[in-house]
Amino acid sequence: MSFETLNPLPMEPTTVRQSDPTMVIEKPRSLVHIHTYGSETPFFKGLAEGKLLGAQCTNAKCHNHKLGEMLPPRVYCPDCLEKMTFMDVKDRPAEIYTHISVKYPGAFNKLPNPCHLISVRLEGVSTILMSYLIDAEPEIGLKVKPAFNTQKPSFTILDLAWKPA
Amino acid sequence: MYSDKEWRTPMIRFSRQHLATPNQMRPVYVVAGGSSDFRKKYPEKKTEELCIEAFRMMALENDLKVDSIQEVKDRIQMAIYGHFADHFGDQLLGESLIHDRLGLDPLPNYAVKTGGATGGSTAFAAAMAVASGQADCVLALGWERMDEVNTKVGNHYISTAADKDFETELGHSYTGYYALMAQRYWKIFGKGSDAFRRTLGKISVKNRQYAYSNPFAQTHQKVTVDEVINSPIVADPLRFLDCCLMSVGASSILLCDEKTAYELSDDPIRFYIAGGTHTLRTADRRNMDIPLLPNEREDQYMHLEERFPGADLYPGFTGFLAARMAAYYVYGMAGIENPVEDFDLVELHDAFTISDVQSYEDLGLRPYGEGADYIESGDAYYGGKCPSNISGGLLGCMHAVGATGLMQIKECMWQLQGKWAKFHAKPHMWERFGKTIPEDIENLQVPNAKTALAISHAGVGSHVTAAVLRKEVGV
Ligand SMILES: [Zn+2]
Repeated sequence: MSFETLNPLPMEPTTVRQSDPTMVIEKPRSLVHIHTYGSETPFFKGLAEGKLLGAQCTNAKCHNHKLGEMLPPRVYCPDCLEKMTFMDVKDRPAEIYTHISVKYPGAFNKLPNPCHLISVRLEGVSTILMSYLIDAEPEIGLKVKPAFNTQKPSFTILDLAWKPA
Repeated sequence: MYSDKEWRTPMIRFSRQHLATPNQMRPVYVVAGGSSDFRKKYPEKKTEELCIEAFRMMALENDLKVDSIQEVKDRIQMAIYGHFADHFGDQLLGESLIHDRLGLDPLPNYAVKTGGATGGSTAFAAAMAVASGQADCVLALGWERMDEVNTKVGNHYISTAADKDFETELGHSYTGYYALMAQRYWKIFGKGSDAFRRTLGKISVKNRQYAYSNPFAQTHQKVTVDEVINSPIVADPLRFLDCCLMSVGASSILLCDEKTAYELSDDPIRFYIAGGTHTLRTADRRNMDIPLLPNEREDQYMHLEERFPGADLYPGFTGFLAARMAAYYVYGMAGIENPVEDFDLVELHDAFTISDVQSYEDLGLRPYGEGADYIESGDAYYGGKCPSNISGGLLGCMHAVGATGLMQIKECMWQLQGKWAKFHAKPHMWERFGKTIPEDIENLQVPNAKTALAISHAGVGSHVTAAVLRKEVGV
């Protein structure tokens, strides 16, 4: 055996960053995560089809039944733990609840820099969705409507953006 | 579609059992604490070296009535470890590695992870072990290693503590998710004013000023309000100097039952702790009635929206339900009736200047909408009614996540034991970390401190622990 055989795939070799006073090495790596959207799949498929699916509890005995859709949607109602029903809420009047601009994003960010993060309140929806704004400067109360990346979807939450209504 | 009025219907209901005051089956005491120093990068030492340094300080420098490490180890029956991020340290089961290096096998240990509140939750678990009788003496030790990746990757790693499908992709910036709350708070409660922006700046100035006199601290750089509000934007309106540090280091405390506490120490500190939680995603916060703290009145918030237009929801994006619940529980346990009057000092989780202000209101230091007054009144300063973050906090001292809550508990304990100077104002305490004691070091011992509060907080408010420490008088 020779040491050469220990490293058959030297694509990401270890390198020495410093030797003194302590040794510090660099260990590069690239890897792939395989991730399922499970029963939330209709939401992410829906974005690519121009649909915005919230989830409604349809259990008449549940406190959450009449309290509007939840967005992000959930598979199960957090109160009764019965399965929720997806409903398209893309045509609901919507406005910016709060907003910011990220100027120093973390690694792997795909949004333009700076990007305008917004929280959107939709009429009849009981939660306040985090998303991002395009084609406008954000302000609290600005009326907005969803924009969908149907042309070349990434099948991530980035397929949904908002622009002035 | 349901109406705007219905939208404000309380969606969370509390049962009698939910609101019951927690109980310790027997009293819990904290008797000793220790820390490494904290640095942004620490290539000089491995994680286990830092943990052992914290343990050695805890065992050997807290005036325990023992002569050796072995005598302390002989007492310990269990260990709880706090380590927030396996991916930062690139090490699963780090608790086993540390436990072995400390020579504590084969005693039981387990690790606790609750994001930014990991340190507090570690103390929480250790306290429950003592209170239940599971063990008479429990080690709580936490650490974080955040220098194996660059800051941008580090920010991405932290952003994975948001919902990875619905939030993390949006900028990979936890600061951004906090800033959404900051903006709303500033507009509604701060009326969008420059004065409120300056108040936020003062928090950073204050905590960094205290860090200047703390040998453990990562920074010793005093800043001005203008420097804070002109520092580079991370996620508008939050700027670099509004944000906590990212640190490497370790902290530990030793919790005991009453008998062991007095065998080991002449000045053990009574220890109460409780926790609360709330949604990981701010999006999911549902409206509810505000659960009141002992110093709040039923009618206090009935007309909040008249005074602060837009204060339409609770907790909305401006409150921390988890902090309020943790406070509600622990104030009940420890008999706290008015936090500002009852606490001689507090250590809060100042991850961001804005979250510090939000916390003042959910911990009962000020009513909703009036958090800024805690700073502006002078109450929050050394010499004020209820000084906060004399350690320098997360803005000035450190945020080595798994260690943070333990560091803050330990600092409170030293204050109540009258040992601030012993651990901060002696030249050898600076020299051991390769530093020189500043000539203009401030004496930050709170005179006659008897009761303290230490908060540990995760996410945009997902987990919070609240610990009350009390010096027992005349025992
Ligand atoms: Zn339901």
